[in-house]
Amino acid sequence: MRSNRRALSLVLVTLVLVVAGNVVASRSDAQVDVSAGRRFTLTPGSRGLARAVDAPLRITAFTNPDGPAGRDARFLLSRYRELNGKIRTRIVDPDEKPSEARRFGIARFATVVLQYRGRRVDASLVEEAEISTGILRLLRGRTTTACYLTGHGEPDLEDTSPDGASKLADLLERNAYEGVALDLVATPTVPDRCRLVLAVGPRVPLASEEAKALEDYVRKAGRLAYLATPLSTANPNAILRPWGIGFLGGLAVDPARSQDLDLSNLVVEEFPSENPVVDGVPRLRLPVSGGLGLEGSPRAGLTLSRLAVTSGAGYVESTPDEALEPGPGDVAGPVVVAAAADDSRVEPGADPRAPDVRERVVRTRVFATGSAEWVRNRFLDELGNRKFILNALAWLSQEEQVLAIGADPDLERPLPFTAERQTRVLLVTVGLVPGGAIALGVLQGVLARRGRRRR
Amino acid sequence: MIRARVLLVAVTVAAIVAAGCSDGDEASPPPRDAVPERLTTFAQITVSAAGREVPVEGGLRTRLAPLIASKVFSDPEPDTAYGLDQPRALLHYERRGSGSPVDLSIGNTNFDRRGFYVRRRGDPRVFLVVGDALRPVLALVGIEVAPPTVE
Repeated sequence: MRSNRRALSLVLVTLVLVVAGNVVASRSDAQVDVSAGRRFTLTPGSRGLARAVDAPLRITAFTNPDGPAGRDARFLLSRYRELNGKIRTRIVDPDEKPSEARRFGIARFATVVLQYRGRRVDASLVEEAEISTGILRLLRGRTTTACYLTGHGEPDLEDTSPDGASKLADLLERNAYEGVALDLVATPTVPDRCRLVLAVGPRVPLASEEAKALEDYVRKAGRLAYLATPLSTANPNAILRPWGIGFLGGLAVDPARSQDLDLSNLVVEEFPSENPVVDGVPRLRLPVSGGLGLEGSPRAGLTLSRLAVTSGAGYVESTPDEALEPGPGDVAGPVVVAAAADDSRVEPGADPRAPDVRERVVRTRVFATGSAEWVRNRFLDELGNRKFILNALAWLSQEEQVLAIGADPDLERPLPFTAERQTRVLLVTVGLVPGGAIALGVLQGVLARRGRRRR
Repeated sequence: MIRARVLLVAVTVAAIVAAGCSDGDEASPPPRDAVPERLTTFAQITVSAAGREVPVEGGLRTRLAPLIASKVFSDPEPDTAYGLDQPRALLHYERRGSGSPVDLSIGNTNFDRRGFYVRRRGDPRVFLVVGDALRPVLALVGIEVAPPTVE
């Protein structure tokens, strides 16, 4: 009787403890992230951003909801949602909901659309750095004016054909940039509101006033993206050379890394620079590119970055109309096809932030590529092109991702199949598992026989 | 006297056989491929669009039966979302011997142009079929579809 009461008391106490423990746990946000690199724990910066959201923020991740990617996306988005009730998240399969994918203009998996106070910013990956940067842009509430040079055969931002640049226009709009046409013939001065200028493949030379206006702009702490093209009679070197970059012209070919049979349809996989422009860019499609040259000994304050290069087998064909074969006059590779220049200098002048100081730091940034085709509609969604231009724009306008990210979402843990590993796998799959099953059967038979003998 | 162990094994085997032979109370789950049948089932496959009808021959036929679906949507959006209200082409599979033919409507590509939405006549589901299987078949009737967004 006493033991029964004791047992019953024990059960009741255990039950109470379990229930109480669950009640306490349900009211706590404490979590333990045991993933590799703690990839599901937001950094303090991200947490601060999430808590700063004071109006409904919708985060829609267009990805496959099933499988590891969908699971990771749900985990990551739930981290933001848990911090602020104004953050709503959802995952949409663009295959299953094509009308919604079309409405948002989704062209690739893992695109994240963030909407806040009537504005929209897109992130190209379902990763903390991308999402938090998007939230930061939305919270800042301002758009960056990107002035687009026109009048020289540049692809039209409103042209939706494969040769147009409507996708570039969409990309600008969705990332808090205001695209404004820049006609230097009508007004030979770059307006002050142009935070950066895009010159996308001018096919004909700029008039002298236009070129001077652009040179003056760049010299005065300008931010220029010049996408040159060998399909042009324009020579961009008057604009680029002061910043240590030269357009070699010719046609960059790469027998080792090109698409299909077209040696000039470059697939670029080497990014030798630490410049943030190449962050998260896996590879590029750069069709019809000329080569770029960088000054060997840039002046003090000028930093040059070889952003993207061909393989060692690549070269600049100086006579592409004749034959694509290495010959005299060609420039041996690896060929630089994308470069950046960052020039900081001290000039006389007052800084509003420090009116007593008679000098100020002036900073010019130039981003240049040997091809302009890669941002046309036909190619913008290829490989890492979209990410590359976005990074370049952010770098030019000095809006690089400033968040310190603790986890490395792209943590790769390659598993090379060494000879030792091969032997181990064979031992387990061929030896241990079937051998174990056989041994168990034999043991069972032996035990059964012993049992029969005893009887 | 039958040993208990032998009896247990016999009952287990009987149960497995019975389960395998019976249809159960529910119907078998529907196939997950747009055309699960093998190529030998069909005498002829034709593709038609805009008044043109062309037989599919040679190696292209092997891509069409079975026609594997990468995704199946059992609760699809309205047909207009997939371009199935006005299909761009039709695939007609004529069976050998008796048996009703199979008709597939081919709609739009998906968002990154890697696949096509198709529907099998009589089946409310929408299948997403790999574009490589259909792109060359559509070319037979003059329909050129841009290649997929390359990743």
